[in-house]
Amino acid sequence: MSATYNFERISLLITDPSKYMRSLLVGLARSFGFRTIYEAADGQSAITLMRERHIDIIVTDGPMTPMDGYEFAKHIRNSPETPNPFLPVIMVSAHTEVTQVKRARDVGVTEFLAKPISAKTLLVRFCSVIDNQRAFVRSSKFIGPDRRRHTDQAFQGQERRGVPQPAQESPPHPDGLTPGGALSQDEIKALLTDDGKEAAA
Amino acid sequence: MANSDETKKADGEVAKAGVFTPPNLLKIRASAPGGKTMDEMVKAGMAVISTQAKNYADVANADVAEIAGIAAAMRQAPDKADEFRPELMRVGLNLKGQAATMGYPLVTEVAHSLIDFLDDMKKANRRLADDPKTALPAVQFHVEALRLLMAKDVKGRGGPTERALIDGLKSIVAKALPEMAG
Repeated sequence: MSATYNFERISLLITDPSKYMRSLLVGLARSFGFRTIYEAADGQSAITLMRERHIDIIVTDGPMTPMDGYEFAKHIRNSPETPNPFLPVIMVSAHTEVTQVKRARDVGVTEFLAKPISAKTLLVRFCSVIDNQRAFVRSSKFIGPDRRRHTDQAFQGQERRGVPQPAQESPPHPDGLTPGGALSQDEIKALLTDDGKEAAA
Repeated sequence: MANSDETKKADGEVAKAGVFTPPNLLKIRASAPGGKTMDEMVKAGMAVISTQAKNYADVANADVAEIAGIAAAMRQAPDKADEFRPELMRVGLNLKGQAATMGYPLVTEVAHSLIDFLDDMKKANRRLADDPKTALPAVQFHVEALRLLMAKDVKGRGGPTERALIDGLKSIVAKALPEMAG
């Protein structure tokens, strides 16, 4: 029997500068069963909102103004006024250049999902932060999820790499099609889950 | 549950890192009765995307018009082209991040190429204003490719003409970067 998830009692904060993208993410979250969903257009607005609302999971873009998603995640992990430094932070960003992904890792994001997204890739990230809650590391230089983790148990389907998928289910991803500095989702996962030595150093 | 790892750094200094696992309250709440399977949720999510995709062409056309305006402003003042770079990145990332989800993977591919080009220039410490005769035409070629794809409403992987367009774009970028590097 397949595992089931009930997201009705889990609150979500979606932070993205694009109204259209927020609308998509909110629509997807509602279709998954989330009932309490808040929206913000940048990190500063999100922090303001979090002073008044209880949030369980954060979904944030990277590039935003005036406060970007990296500073926002850093605030969540380090600020004395953060309501919960252990909140799962899922960064959903189209800027997948290696320095940006490393930056996301170093400020303590829990998961990084490369845009363009599909319903399945987003859902898998939600299930992952719920099923595979990571231990936390706190040192003088880093606070965030322990990068030493195991295989994603939430994903029960076939791995996407190398497997043709219907366009609607999993849109053709540009990674691998265009040479350049951007990372594929597999490379991002590898970068976020190194052996932990850097995290503890 | 907390414990402490001692990690020896390169200079011999020992740093203490606390490792602890907060209680997983989300898992308890998510296991409440009345949940859905992943297959059910993916199916519902795909329906949301299909519905939202119906008005994506208007959104993409607005983004392409905006990016064309930014490129035009760069051409008018080449020495100030880098002032427009953040806006070019912002709109380019919108197109890269949304188009393929909505059925326009070639638009994503062109926007991805533009973002990579700008990132590669930054990594090489090159400003757009340093190489206006190479960098600005490369940007403009991306803009024209985006305009063409949206004007023809090219969904999916396109045909031979569209593939030739993408290949031409890649050639221009591959040629432009070494030229700028000197």
